[in-house]
Amino acid sequence: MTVFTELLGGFATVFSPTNLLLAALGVTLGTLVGVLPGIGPAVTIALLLPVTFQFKDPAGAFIMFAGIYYGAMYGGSTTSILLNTPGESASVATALEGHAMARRGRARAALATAAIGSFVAGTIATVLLTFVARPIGHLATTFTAADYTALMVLSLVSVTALVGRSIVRGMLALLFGITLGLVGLDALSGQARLTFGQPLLYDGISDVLLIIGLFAIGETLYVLIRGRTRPGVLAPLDPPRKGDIFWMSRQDWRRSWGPWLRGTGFGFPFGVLPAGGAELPTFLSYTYERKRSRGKDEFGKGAIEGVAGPEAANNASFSGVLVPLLTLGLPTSATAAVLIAAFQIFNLQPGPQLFDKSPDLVWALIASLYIGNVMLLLLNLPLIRLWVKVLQIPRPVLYAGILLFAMLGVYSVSGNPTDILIALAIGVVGMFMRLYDFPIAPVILGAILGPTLESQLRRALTASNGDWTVFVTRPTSAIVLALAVVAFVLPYLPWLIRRARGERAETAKVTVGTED
Amino acid sequence: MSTPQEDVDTSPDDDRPGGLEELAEEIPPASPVAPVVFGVIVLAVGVVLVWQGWSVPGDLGPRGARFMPVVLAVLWVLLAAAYLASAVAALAGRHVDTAAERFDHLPRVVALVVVLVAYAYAIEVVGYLISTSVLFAVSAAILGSRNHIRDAVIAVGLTIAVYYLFSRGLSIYLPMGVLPV
Repeated sequence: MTVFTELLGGFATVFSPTNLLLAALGVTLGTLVGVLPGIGPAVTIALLLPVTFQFKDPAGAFIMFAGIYYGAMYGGSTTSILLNTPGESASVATALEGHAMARRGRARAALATAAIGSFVAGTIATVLLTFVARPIGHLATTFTAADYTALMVLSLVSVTALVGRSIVRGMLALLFGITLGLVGLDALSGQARLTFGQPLLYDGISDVLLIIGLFAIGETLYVLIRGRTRPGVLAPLDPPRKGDIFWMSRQDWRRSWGPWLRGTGFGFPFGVLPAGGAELPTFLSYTYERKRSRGKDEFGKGAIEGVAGPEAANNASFSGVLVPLLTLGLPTSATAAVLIAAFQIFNLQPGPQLFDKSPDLVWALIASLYIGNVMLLLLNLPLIRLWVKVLQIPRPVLYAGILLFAMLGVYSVSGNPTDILIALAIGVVGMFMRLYDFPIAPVILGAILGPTLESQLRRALTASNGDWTVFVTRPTSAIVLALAVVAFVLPYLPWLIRRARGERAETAKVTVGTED
Repeated sequence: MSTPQEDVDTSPDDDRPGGLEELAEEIPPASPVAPVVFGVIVLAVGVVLVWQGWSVPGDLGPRGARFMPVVLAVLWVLLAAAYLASAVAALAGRHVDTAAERFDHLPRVVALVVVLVAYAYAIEVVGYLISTSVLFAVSAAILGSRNHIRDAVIAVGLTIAVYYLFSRGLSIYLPMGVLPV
């Protein structure tokens, strides 16, 4: 079968009434949680996992999750532009220029260039995903356990190295995650590990508890302890102007389309790399557009290119992240890690076999991305007043609501009230991690990838009779491990260069983002 | 229809939590002792993990059950020591990047944690509807809301809606408790 017939099959699955409804539900929920501070796509998918246990067809669940994943990005840009509080670190650039535009009475143009740019980038990136996923999947079938081990090390190390301000704190967060992933009975030997003799912990700590605890409960406690319970000041929404096409003037369109395409060019490849994340490409796109712009002075005061480029890069990289996720089973963001957990719940192992074992599911998921993007474009701009209203929900009520849903999600995992106490303890740890600037995403990635990493390591060493050189004698794993070392050193490179030149450096590490 | 200006009006006065916002603005930096204390705790956890990992029965070889826990815990101890060292260096007055924020509202956080612990014990005894309504209203108050009547109305309405949607619509088990619903 060619890609086209398979994709058409995917569209046929998506166009069933139930799945269309789930897609619409997903993008709406996704936009809502993207707009709201304190709750993001990772938590939302984790909250919904217990509900989707009972779905007969996993395709419906994944169509909804894909909608949430995408919708949160569209919603996040609305909050960044109107409120100047980026919901996720990949929206920081949008907040910078978009909020400045909104303050100058150009909120509609900023929102439009973000939404349409996201649509353009998302659609192009989905087309690219459609064509590269299977070839990469085929390539991945030649990978050995040693290669997979190396890839996982690369993914974990590079995400940790790129996120946050300190590698020591990032690595501690990662170790915390992998350690949490090991709690319970060892899959191979059946030994109880790190359970402190508690039979309660033999099944391990559910990923849902961990995600809800760290993100929803931890964030609420952190907001409370810092006293950040006041809503910010919203920038006003300017009245629509005559002669504008979709809220943008001819000049806006002319200035936006280039950054959209270039942003897609930055975003997709970075997403595809098993070191992904959306932070780096959005910052690259922002820096590039600022350098390229003739009206450099306008940057910082609301340049439309500074919204169009990073937003496109953000969306394109999110589609790119699905390539390593689907073909290698490698997540490179917290949300992608939750999707891996979702696959595991349905007894599906993302990786090269996924395209052969469940082609219907994969192609329905990819087809739903096309539909989701269209739905989001239709949903986002016309409903802007609704999203503005959502932003005005008083913070105490909002966080009380987040707690209510967090408790519901935790309780519905197994109907055991002890889970609430475990999630609460994790939430307290999450609050302290935020207070002391430890990144959260590596914990989630570590907990979800850790057990797989261990089993691949064991397989690799079993195949080599315990010979560690297996990781450096094969070119694939040797190159991948070398890249992991590079990812580790890279953020310190500017500092090292300045030190070598004998200049004093202010901060040691280049920082590109903080969370999620 | 409201005008755009009304749309973006900021929240009513009753949502300004008393005293919270002043503290949230421009606060003095956190005490440099706090990261040291935190570092000691992280290091202690690492030592416990080494002990727990070591006490896993079996082979210490890379294919055995002990290998990963021990390796991770040893790495943890090394990194925790590095973190603690930087925290101590900051305490000694050297310019080191140890980000730390103050706990301004610790009593409120303690209150919220107590409420959530109580919720875990109450949910199966009292039932979902009552315990969750109370949880919402009380946590909104702890989070700084002063409009208690509005919160109570939202609490009851939201809880009933969630209960029917999840227990009846999505067949997630939620305990009924004392209410004969």
